[in-house]
Amino acid sequence: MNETIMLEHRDLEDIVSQVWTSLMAQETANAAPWESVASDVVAAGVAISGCWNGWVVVETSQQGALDLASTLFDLPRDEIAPSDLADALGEVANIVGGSVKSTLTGTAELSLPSVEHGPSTIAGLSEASLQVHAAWQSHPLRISVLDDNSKSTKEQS
Amino acid sequence: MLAMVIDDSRAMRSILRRIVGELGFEVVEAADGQQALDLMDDGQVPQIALIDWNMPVLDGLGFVTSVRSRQEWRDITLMMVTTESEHGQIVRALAAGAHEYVIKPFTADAIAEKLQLLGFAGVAS
Amino acid sequence: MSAAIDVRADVHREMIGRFVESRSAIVLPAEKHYLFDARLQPVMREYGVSDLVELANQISRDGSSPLAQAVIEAMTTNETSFFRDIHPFDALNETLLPELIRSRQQSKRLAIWSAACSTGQELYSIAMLLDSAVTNLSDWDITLHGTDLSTEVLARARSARYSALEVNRGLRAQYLAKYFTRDGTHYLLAEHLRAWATFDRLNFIEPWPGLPRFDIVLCRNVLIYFELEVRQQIIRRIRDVLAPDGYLILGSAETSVGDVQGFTRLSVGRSTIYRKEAH
Repeated sequence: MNETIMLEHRDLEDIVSQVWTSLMAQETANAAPWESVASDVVAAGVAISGCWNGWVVVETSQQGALDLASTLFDLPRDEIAPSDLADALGEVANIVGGSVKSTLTGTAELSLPSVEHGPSTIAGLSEASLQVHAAWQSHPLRISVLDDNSKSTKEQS
Repeated sequence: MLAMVIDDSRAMRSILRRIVGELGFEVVEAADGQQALDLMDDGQVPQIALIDWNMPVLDGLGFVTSVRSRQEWRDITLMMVTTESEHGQIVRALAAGAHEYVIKPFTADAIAEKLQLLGFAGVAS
Repeated sequence: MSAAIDVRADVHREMIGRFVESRSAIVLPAEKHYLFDARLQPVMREYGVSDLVELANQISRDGSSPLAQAVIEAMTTNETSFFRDIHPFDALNETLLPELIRSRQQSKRLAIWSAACSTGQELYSIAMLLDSAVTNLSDWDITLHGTDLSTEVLARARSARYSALEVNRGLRAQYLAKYFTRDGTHYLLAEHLRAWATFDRLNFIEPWPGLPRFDIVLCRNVLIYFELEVRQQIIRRIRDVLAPDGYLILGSAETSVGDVQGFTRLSVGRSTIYRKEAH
């Protein structure tokens, strides 16, 4: 059964803000919830398994991901290859996911990140239990913490 | 002074390379613990290694354990740089032989200060 | 288009930086300008200022407005970290604390004041050193007192809760493992060290609240903000609350503040320490 995640909305906002200010020297601002997921969305997710099972997913636009990779690699945008973009966003998901994992009281493991282009295929992302909508440098940003209910239900039955 | 940056993310290696490079280190990179051990067996033995925890093939904890099992590498300073930040994980890494621990996300100052604590006095401002 | 806006903001960051420098004597190099966004955002929200451009315009119009004061305060908040600058803590750990612990074997009392304690890291760094000392101090009366101008930082100091970014700064991993437990997204200092600490608001240039007699006073990176005369007055008042063989520790960049009257200047390791003279 899943441990209840004690993370509050405010905590997730803090985590996101800390990642952006420390690694990219950029501020994030709160933003309105997305009405729909844009077709050019890029998503990076890590799975957490153990005392709590679920995912932490970081989504932004193609331009946002490009900017992010350009900042982390310290390279001009036109020198960023698609694999760089996936690597950079994946690392951000790893760090946000690790911060979320560390708030759990039991033990859990973090998966290596995976990256997808286009509206995410992780079902029910828009109904995530915890979701932060933000923006930085006018790029959209959505961070979701999603319970893997299938796993907890299976173990309950 | 040679620093080895061990992380499966090229973006993270690039960030750490810039930080320790500016502090005056030569930098060599490895994408996982096994690559790092191979480089060291080939003679690229660093004074300090900055080590991610979660990596494919051989993770950071495995790398620390391997380095500590080799007498000839006992002088290498080992610093974890990882998003693993539970109390228990920090204790495990220190017990395995890591000297220092930096939690991701970090600032360049944090790395510089840790290196100063580790006695790399000339490098930190 | 966003690049053009960034350039414009950079120009205004520089303007704000020059303004703060002129009013506080704090130098804000360009690579520290990223701090502006984080620190000025709450100020801008409070005063309803839309962006940095607008902020720069307003403070250049009236440099003594409450908004301008708030900008200076936000930008000059004492940056702190655990074991900041490390050398004074080496001096404390290797020389001053062992010596004082020896000389106070009878009274078993030790009182240390972190003046301008900010969010408490300086005081708690000393708490960790004391707890790690060879001598067991569990039956000692230890007072670690922190004061600051800002009630906001005092509240944070009292909470003894630090973010991952804060525990990354200057804190040895062994101390993190030994003295902190995880508390949600933060790290909480051990109860027995928190129990030594007290915090109170103090403005150097106003009447001081009642203070005990201290064995060590740390007053680092604060005096530089004051005129020479005020500075000397503060040093006199610190001297008054110091024990006869007490020590004063100033910031490493403050050794040239000139006259530290009534003190003997000592070199301890790589630090300059001031010992109170008899009269």
